Amino acid sequence: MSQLIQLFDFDGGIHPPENKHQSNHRPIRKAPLPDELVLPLHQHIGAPSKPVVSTGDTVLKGQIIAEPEGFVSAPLHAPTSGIVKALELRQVPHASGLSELCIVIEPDGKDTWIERQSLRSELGLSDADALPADEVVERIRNCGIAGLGGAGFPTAVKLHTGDHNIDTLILNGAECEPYITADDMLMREHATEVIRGAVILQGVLTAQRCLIGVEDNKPEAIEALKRAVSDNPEANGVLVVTIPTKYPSGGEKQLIQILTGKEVPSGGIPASLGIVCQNVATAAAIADAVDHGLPLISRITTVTGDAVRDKGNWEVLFGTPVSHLLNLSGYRAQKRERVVMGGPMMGFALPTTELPVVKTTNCLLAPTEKELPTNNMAMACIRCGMCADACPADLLPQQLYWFSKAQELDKAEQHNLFDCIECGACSYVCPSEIPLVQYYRHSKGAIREERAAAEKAEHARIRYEARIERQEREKAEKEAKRKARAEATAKAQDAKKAAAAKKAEAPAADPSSSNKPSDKPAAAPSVAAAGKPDPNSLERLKKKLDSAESRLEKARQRLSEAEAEGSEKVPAIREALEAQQAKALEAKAAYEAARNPQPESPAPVGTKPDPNSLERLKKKWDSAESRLEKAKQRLSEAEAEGSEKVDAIREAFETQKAKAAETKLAYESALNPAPVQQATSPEPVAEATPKPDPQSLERLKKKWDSAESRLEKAKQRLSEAEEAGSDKVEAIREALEAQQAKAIETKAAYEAALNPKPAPTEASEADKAPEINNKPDPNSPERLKKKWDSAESRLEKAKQRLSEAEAAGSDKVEAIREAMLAQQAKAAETKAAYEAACAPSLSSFTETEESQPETADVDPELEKLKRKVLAQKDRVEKARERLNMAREEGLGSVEALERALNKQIEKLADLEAQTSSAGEA
Amino acid sequence: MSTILIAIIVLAVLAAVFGALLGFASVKFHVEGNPIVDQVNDLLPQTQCGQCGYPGCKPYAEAIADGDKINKCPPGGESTIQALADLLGVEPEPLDAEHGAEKDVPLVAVIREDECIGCTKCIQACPVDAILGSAKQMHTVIADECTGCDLCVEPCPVDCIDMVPVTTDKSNWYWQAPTSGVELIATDRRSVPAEGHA
Repeated sequence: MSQLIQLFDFDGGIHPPENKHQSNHRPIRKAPLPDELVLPLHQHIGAPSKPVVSTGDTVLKGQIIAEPEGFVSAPLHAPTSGIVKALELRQVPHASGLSELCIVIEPDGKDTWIERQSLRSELGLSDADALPADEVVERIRNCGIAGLGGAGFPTAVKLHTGDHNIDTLILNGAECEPYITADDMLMREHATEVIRGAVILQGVLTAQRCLIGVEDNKPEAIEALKRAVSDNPEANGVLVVTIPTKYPSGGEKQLIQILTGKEVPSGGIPASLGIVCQNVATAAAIADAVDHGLPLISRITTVTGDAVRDKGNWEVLFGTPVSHLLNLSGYRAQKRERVVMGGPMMGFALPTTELPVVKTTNCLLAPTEKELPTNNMAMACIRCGMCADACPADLLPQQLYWFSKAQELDKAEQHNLFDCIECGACSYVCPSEIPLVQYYRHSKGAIREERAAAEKAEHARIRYEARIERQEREKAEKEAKRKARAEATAKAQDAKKAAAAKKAEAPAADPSSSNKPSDKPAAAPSVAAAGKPDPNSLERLKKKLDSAESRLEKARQRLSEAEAEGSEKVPAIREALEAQQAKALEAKAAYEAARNPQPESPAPVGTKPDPNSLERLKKKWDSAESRLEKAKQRLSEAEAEGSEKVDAIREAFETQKAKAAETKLAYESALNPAPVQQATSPEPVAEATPKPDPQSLERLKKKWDSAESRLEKAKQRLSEAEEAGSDKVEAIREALEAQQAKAIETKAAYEAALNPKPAPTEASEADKAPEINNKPDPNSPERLKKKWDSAESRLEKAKQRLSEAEAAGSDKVEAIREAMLAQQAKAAETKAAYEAACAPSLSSFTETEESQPETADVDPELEKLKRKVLAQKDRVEKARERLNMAREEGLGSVEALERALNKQIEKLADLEAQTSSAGEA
Repeated sequence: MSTILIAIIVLAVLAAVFGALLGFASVKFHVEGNPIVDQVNDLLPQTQCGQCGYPGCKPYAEAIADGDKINKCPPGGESTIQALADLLGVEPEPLDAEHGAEKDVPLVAVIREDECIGCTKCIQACPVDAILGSAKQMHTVIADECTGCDLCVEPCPVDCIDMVPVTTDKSNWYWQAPTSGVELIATDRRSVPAEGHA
C-alpha cells in the first residue's frame, strides 16, 4: 500500500545509534511468576488510586484492588491470584526514589481469573450493533488503561475530548528511542489487536481517519500492521504511515507535526487541533479490554543492554521486581551497577533493582560502562549553538541553561521552558556534556513550586481577610446588640420616670378628693405615708406579678416537658420552678400589700386585723394546699411507677403537708386575734398608733418572706441531697433546721408587730409601750404554738425516716431512732410550754394590770419546770411503751430499756420535787 | 499688541480647558487606597505569622508603603526582600535577624490528637482558620491550609502541637540541579560552592 498522505518534518532532532537489533530478534516471552508482586498505587498521571483490599484478602487475577480517586485517575487490578500480603510504603520506580503506598500480593501460583466478558456480550449487543461510545470509555476506565508509551496518562480521560471535534486519530508506533523494541515486537505479534483497538478508538472519537505512524526502521511491524488492516473489514480509515527514523519523532507533538503538519500550540492539547494521539500498545490493551474484558495487568517490556546476556522482550505482570526480570535475562552485575528504566535518552537510573515494573516501564536498560559511559565531566558552555539546532521544540536550550543556572526562573519561563519535552537531544549533542535536561527539570520543578507557593499565599490571604472580616462583623454585631440593649433599658427607665411623674401628679390631686369626705386630721399624713410606696409601685408590682406568673407558667411547662422526656435535668428544673413559684407568690403578696392599704389608709385606725396579711396568709395557705395536692399526685405517680425516688418524694410531700398545716394555722391565728384586738382597743388615737408602723411592718414582712423562700430552698436542697445519697445530708439538714427556726422567728416577729399584745394597748401611755411590745415575746402563746407545730412536723418526719430506715434495714436505724426520740421529747416539751403559756395568758386577761408584771416575774421559772415535768412524763410514758413492746417481741434490749425507764422515772421524780418547791416559793 | 493679547487669551483658554479636564479626570478615575500596598502585599508570603511585628501581611505591606524596612519577613526570606527591592526601587538589605531566621524547609503544624484537650485556643490563634475543632472536642490542622506560621504552638496549654517539615512526595518532588563539576577553569571551580550549585 503506497503512502497517500504528505509527510512533514519537524526542526531539529538527532540520529543516535539505534541499538534495537539486540532485542528484536526473539519473540515475546512470558515472564514466570515472581515470589511477590509490588503494586504502587500511583502508576499513572493524576491522583493515586485508593486501595479496596486489605491485608490477608484473597484476590483473583484481574480483580480490582484499588479504585480511582477522582476523574484523572485509574484503577488497579490484581495481576495474578493470590493473597494480599501487605499494604505498605515501598520504594517506587521514580526518579525521586521516594517510597509510596503499595499493595503487595503473594501469588498462589494458580493464576485464577475472575469472570470476564466482552463489552458486547455484557451489553447484550449483537455483532452488527455499534458499541456505544460512553460504554467503551467506561470499560477503558474500569480496566485501568493508562498510556503505555511512557507517561501513563489515563486513556479514558484522554478520550473525553469535550467540545473538540476530532477528525484524526493517531497511533504512535514510532518508538524512536534507542534500544527499546517493545512496541516493535507488539506490532509484529499483536497487529490484529492494534488495528482492532484503532477501530474501537475511531468509533469512540468519531474520527474519519486513523494514522498509525511507524518509523521506517521497523519494516516487519509495518508489514504486520498493513496485513492486519487489510484483514479487518472495519478498518476503513486506518492508514499505516511509514515515517523516517529520527529522534524524537515518537514525541506526541513531533509525530503530529510529521503526520499532519500542524503544530500543537504552546500549553495546548492535540484535541484543539482535532487530533487524539495514542500509543499502539494502548490501542492493543483497549482491544483486549473491550473484546475480552481483560484489565491492564501486564505489558511488554524490553530488557536490553550489554550487561544482560539474553536480551529480548518480556510480557511482564505489573509488580514484578526488576531483579526478577534481570535474572531471567542473565544479568551480570557491573562494577558500577546501573539499571535505567526507560531508554537511554529519557530514562532514569534506578536506585536499586528491587523495584517493580509498572504501567510505564517500556524498557529496562542495563548498559555496561563502555556502552553508555556515565557523564560526570561536564564542562563550560562554549556557546556553540548545537543544542538549539537539535531542539525539536524550537527552543533556545543555551539561554534556558543560563537562566536555569542563575535561578532566573521568570526569564526561563519567558523563554518557554515549559515547552521543553525533555527529550535529551540537546544534552546528546552538547560537546561540553552539560546535563542540560537536568537543569530544565530542576527549573521546571522550582517554578511549579513557586507557583504552588504563590497560589497557597493567595489562598491564605483570602482566608486571612475572610477571618478578619468575620471578626469585625461579629464585633459589630455584638456592639449593636449591646447598644440596642442599652437603648431599651434607657427607654424603659424613661417610661418609668414618666409614669412616676404622672403618678406623682395623681396623688397630688388625690388627697384633695379623699380629704373632702374624710375630715380626719390624721388623714393627710397617713395618706402621704401610704401614698409614697403606693402609686409608683402598684403599677410596677402588677407588671412584676404578671411577668412572674408568666415565667412560672413557662417553668411549669418546661418541667412537665422534661418529666415527659425523662430528662436528667428534672430536679434542677423543679428547683427553678419552686424558686419561681416563691418569687411569684412574693410578687403577688407585694402587689396585694400595695393595693390593699389604699382602702385602709383613709381609716388607718381601723381595728380590723391587717387585711393584707390576712389576705396573704389565705393565699399562702391556698398555694400551700395546691402544692400539697401536686405533691400528693407526684407521690402517687411515683409509687405507681415504682420509682426509686418514691422515698424522697414522700418526704417532700410530708414537708409540704407540714407546711400547709403551718400556713393554715398561721392564717387562722391571724384571723382569730382580730376580734380580741378589736375588743381590747376601744380608744384608738390616730397619732398614737405607730404600732403598725408601715415601714417596719413592711420590712418584717419582707424578712419573713425571704426567710420562707430560703427555707423552701433549703428543703429542696435537702431532699435532693437525700435523693442523691450525698454525705452532706446532715449538714444540710442542720442548716435547714436553723433556717426553719429563723423563719418561724421572723414570722413571729412579724405577727407580733402586726398584732400587738392587747395588754400594752390598754396602757393609755402608749409612748414607750409599743416599742417594748414590738419585740417578739419569746413566750407568747403564738410563738409557742408555732414551735410546737414545727416540732410536731419534725417529729413526724423523723418517724417517717425511722420507719424507712427500718424497712431498708439500714445500719443507721439506731442513730435515727435516737434522733427521733430526741425530737419526740422536744415536741412534748414545746407542747407543754405552749399549754403552760396559754393558761397564764388567759388568766392574765382577767387579772389586773398591776398584778401582771409580778406574775410574769414568777411565771418563767415555774413554767419552765412545769414544762420539763410534762416532757419528762411523756418521755417516761414512751420509755414504758417501748419496754412493753420489747417484752412482747422478746428482744434482747429489754434490760437496757428497763434501765433507761428507771432512769427516766428518777428524773421525773426529781423534776416534780423541784417544781413543787418552786411553787411553794 | 493684538498678537500678544491673542496669545495670552489662547493660552488662558487652553489652561482652563486642560485644567477642567484634569480636574474631571481626577474625580472620575479616582483610585481608592494605595495601589502600592496591594502590590507589596502580593509579594509577601501571606503566612500571617506576625514575625515582622505587624498583625499580618497586609498591615506590614501598608507599613512598607509608608516607608518601613523591607527586611522584616523571615518566611519570605531573601527572595521576598529581592522582589520588594525590585518593586520599590530600593537597595535589598539582608534579613533583619531580630525578627527571626528564614526556615530552610516549609513547616506545617500537626496536633498530637490524643493529647488535645479541646481548649480551642489554637483555633483562636490561627490567622487562616486552618484548625478544625470545637470546645472539648479534638482539634486537627487542615494541612493544606496551614501556612506554618506557628502561632498556634505557643497558646497550646498541653504543648501538643508540633511544627513538622512538609513531607515530600511525588507531587511536590522535583529534580535537583546538577551537581557535577561543570567548570573547567580553576578559578571557576573554586566558585562552585559559593554559588551553591544554583
